[in-house]
Amino acid sequence: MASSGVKVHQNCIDTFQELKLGKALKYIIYKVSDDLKSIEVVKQSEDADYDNFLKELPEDDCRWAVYDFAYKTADGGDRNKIVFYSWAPDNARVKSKMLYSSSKEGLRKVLNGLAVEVQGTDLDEVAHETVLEKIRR
Amino acid sequence: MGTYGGDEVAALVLSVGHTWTQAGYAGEDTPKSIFPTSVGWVDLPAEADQGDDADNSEDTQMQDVTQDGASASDSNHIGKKDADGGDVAPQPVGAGLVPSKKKITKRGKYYVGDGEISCWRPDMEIKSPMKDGLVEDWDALEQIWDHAFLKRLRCDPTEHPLIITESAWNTREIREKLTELAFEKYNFPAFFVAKDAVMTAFAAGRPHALVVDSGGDMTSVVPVYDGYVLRKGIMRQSLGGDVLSDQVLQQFKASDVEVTPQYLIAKKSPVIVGQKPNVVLRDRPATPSFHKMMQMRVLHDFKESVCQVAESTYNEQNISTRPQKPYELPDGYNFNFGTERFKVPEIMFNPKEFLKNPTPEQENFVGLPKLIFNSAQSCDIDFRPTLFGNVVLTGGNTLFPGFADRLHWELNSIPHSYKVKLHAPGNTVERKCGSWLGGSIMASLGTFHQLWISRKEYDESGSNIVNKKCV
Repeated sequence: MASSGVKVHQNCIDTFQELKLGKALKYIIYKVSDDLKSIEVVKQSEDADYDNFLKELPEDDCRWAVYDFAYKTADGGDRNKIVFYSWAPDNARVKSKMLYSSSKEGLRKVLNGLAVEVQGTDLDEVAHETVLEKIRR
Repeated sequence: MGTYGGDEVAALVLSVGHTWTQAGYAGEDTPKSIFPTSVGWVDLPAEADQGDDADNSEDTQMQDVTQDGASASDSNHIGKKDADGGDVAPQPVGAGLVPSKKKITKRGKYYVGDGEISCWRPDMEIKSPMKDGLVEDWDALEQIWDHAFLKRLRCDPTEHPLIITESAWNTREIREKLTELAFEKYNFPAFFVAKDAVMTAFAAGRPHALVVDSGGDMTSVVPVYDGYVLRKGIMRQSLGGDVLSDQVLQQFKASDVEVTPQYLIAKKSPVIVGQKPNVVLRDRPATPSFHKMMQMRVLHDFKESVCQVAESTYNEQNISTRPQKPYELPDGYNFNFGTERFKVPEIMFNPKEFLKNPTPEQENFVGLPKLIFNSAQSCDIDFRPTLFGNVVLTGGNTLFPGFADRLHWELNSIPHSYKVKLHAPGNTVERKCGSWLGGSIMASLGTFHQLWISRKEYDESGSNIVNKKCV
């Protein structure tokens, strides 16, 4: 596939493992480093508030994120699923969109255990209920 | 050029479409040069071949002898016709033989570039090397490459890597041949082929997308998932801007209006609306292909100037209340266009009803919403919500005012349970050059260098390497 060749920093994988295995971390935000050579962790957080998580996604730039999504099944049981987000709002610069789109596969394939993937270009597409619907499908 | 900026040499980005070729440097946000993907040439007279080949000349002589009586009157006749038509090169010896010799006539000097091909020359043929998104005429394609690299960008191909875009349904053979061309003829140090639909999707920030590309000779819908083209979902038909232009031409003909391109006009004077033009024509006989191209340019301008898409289902009554728009043809004929200007792009949405006098192939055309729907429906059911949610519009033929609104409306009218989101960049450059732009950004990334096919790899593995590295 046509891909950018941007490398994934080891820290990205380690943080993801921490989220997956420990129960403390709720989400991680990833970005491409300023020198455009590798993918790094911008933020890791234990805050479970979904709206706070959404605030981490900039209006005019792209990001990736992993969120440990807790929900209830139809019969009331508690479940968790790890969701991967590619965030590319329409008013991000074309260069950024191109960079993130062509680097996504590199990151996603080293994060083992993702249940659902969400491609978001506006807040509707990453809203809690939209993602929940996708998980339950 | 090569040394500009010191350490990094910019890659060249080339996108050859059926109608337009875009060429420029990686990292820039518009192509340095955009010129028509058409070449012009004059067929060399048949006798030019005779000297080369002994067998040939014997043949001709024999025919000459046998046809002596007949050919004298024949050639007279033809000569006269030529003179009437103002043909420059009468062919006294072989005139009667020209038709039988047609197959081995060689093309003379090629003319490439806007100024060259639109300059009237008797007997100049015009052709695009591309058909249905595939390379059809390799000689002509080489001319386009030559023109792009040597005349327009004025660069030394041996100093820059080259990235080109290709259609999603390009064949293995063509890709290999393109690779050979890049390494053998031009000696590029590195090469890459990217799918245009993938580049367009990426430039829109979407690794998953349904890319709708409507250009001059065709319209295609290509599902892209994780940056891969889903081949079985590719839908295409040769309904593009040229068919629309042809329809305008037919409409004009039906109301007894001739579309006379600029090159035939010596003098014109203003006439009132709807009146026959008052025009003095030049005596400039041209080949049908040249005349057609020049007519298409007029019609293209007509479409850009007056045509518009109805925002919801076409309704003659509503449309007739919309303001008319005046348009003047090069010969001075002018008219105010009302419903006509909506009917033309309507063909894209409802060909069955609006395409007049369809050819057998055209009878099978479906409306664009249906084409999009069919494409998504032929992909895995799990992909469909994402595809419908990421429809990306590209290509010059989608630039009619109202096109995106209407498409969105239509896609929501087809019964299905998906949420439709249409991405149509408002920026004209992005819409016309989406795939070029994608290639430009990608090739400019420092990390991309590891993905190029290098000269060394080509020398070791041959042209087949393109099918391994650029998938």
